[in-house]
Amino acid sequence: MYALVDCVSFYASCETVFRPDLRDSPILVMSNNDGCCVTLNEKAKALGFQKFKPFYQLKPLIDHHQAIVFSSNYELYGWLSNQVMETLATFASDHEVYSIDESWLDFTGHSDLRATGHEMIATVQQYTGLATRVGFGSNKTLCKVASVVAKRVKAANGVCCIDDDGTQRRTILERFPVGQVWGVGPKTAVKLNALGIHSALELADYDKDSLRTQFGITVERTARELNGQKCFNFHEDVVEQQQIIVSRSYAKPIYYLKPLQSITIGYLEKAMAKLRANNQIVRHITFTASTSRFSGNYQSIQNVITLPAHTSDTLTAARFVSMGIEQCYRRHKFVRSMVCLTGLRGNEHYQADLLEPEQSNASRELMKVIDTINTGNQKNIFLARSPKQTEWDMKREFKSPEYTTSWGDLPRIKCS
Amino acid sequence: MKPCNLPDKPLPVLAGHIHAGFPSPAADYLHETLSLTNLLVTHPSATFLAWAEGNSMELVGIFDGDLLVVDRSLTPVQNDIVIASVDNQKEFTCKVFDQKNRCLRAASNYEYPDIDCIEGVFIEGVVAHSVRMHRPASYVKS
Repeated sequence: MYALVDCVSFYASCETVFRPDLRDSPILVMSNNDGCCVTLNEKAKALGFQKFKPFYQLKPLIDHHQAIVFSSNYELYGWLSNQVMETLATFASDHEVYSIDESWLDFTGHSDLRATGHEMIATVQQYTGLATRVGFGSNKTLCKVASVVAKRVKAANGVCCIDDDGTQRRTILERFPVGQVWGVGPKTAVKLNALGIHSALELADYDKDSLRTQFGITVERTARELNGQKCFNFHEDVVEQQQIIVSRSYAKPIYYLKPLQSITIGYLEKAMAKLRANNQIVRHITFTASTSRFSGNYQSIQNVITLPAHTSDTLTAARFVSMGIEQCYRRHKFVRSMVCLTGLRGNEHYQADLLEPEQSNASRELMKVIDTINTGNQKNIFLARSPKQTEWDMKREFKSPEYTTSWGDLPRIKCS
Repeated sequence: MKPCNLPDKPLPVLAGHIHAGFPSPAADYLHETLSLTNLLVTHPSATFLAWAEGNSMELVGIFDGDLLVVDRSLTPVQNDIVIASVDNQKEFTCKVFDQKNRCLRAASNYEYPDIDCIEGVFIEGVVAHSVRMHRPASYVKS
């Protein structure tokens, strides 16, 4: 048997770990740049707040209920996530982190899983101060179903186990909408509904061959998993990273070429540092800048920049990206841009092309020095045209302190 | 053109320098460098760090500005130093855990009231260790 453990309202809960005074308050966490709400706690949901609404629409309700608003504090969330994952890993024979607040655990050969589930919840609560839910099942798809049931059914106390015996599984699946099954997207759900498949059980009972021909192998495998077969393995989608994306909205709009180049070079520096940390080299860089989706007249500019050779050199990449931006630049009210590195290769297996100028050793050494100086996400050394801390940097007005990753921000304990 | 007799794989390189003299007699006794983290943090996935503020714990050796290593996995026993949240106050409080009298006590020459372990008082962790900064700690205040 497997388990999926996920944290309850993760970002919002993280904000209360070092703020006991907020544990009974409605809390909203905003996206990058404080654009819209990405997480709500139970209190906020009960008061009628909704996810993915832009801040200005929520503002009257926030004022009315005196709800607490936070900008995303990824330093804190990342640290707490790590604590949760490490705590969970000790319970199972294998584990796979699925997202910042979800982890798969392998309980093959274990017995009395419900008791283990409750023990995990209690331990994570004690070690980290965060609430979790556990869904057990014989494969990943059933774990996902169980985890949703654990969330919805109060009496489950956070633990749901879909047993191997058929009747309990069928009862749960019968009431489970097919659109909420893991891996069934909204478009697929509409098509399935048209075929008369509304519940997860109806998908499980449907003819597998015709599912494959109409929807492809993934939906067929999903249906098989709902029947208790195992199709999606542990660590299955762990592949070498195919692309690296750095995408941000600006704190205020950008109209002109120079600042657009400047801020994009800043994102490129981040992306190239990630590339080198993965021990990879890049050939193609996609640049995109776009206007606001809320403004009505959505505009974007894009350019795919091909470098003369695979490289990990930020200076080379910056030179070509600057030219690439100039080529495609048109004046708009830009609010975000993205840098995407593709055509990645591992540094070691790489066979240099005869005609390709190879990255020099001096350049590699220089990059190593830069990465050493910038250890730990710090921006100590950077290109002259890259912004230091500019007015376009991400707006995180309501960010809580970095309680766990910055000496100056550690919690203050009252000894008085 | 490459010389044809070189293997594709990188050649194994001996770690360290080769000196012609007598080998270091300490080489066989090398151990890992001592790590303060390993000494002070017994349960990494349940430990956080914090600064102490105030003089109410001086008699147990915790002074203003000391670094506290708080372990959330430990169950407090009599006279443990604990971190507690009290009545939804914004900051955690540091006290001595008095299990026998079901209360949290200060440890100071000054007067501080005891806090009864009743509703609204939650023990958040045990101060397993504390670190004194005899010279100011060097970190950037943000």
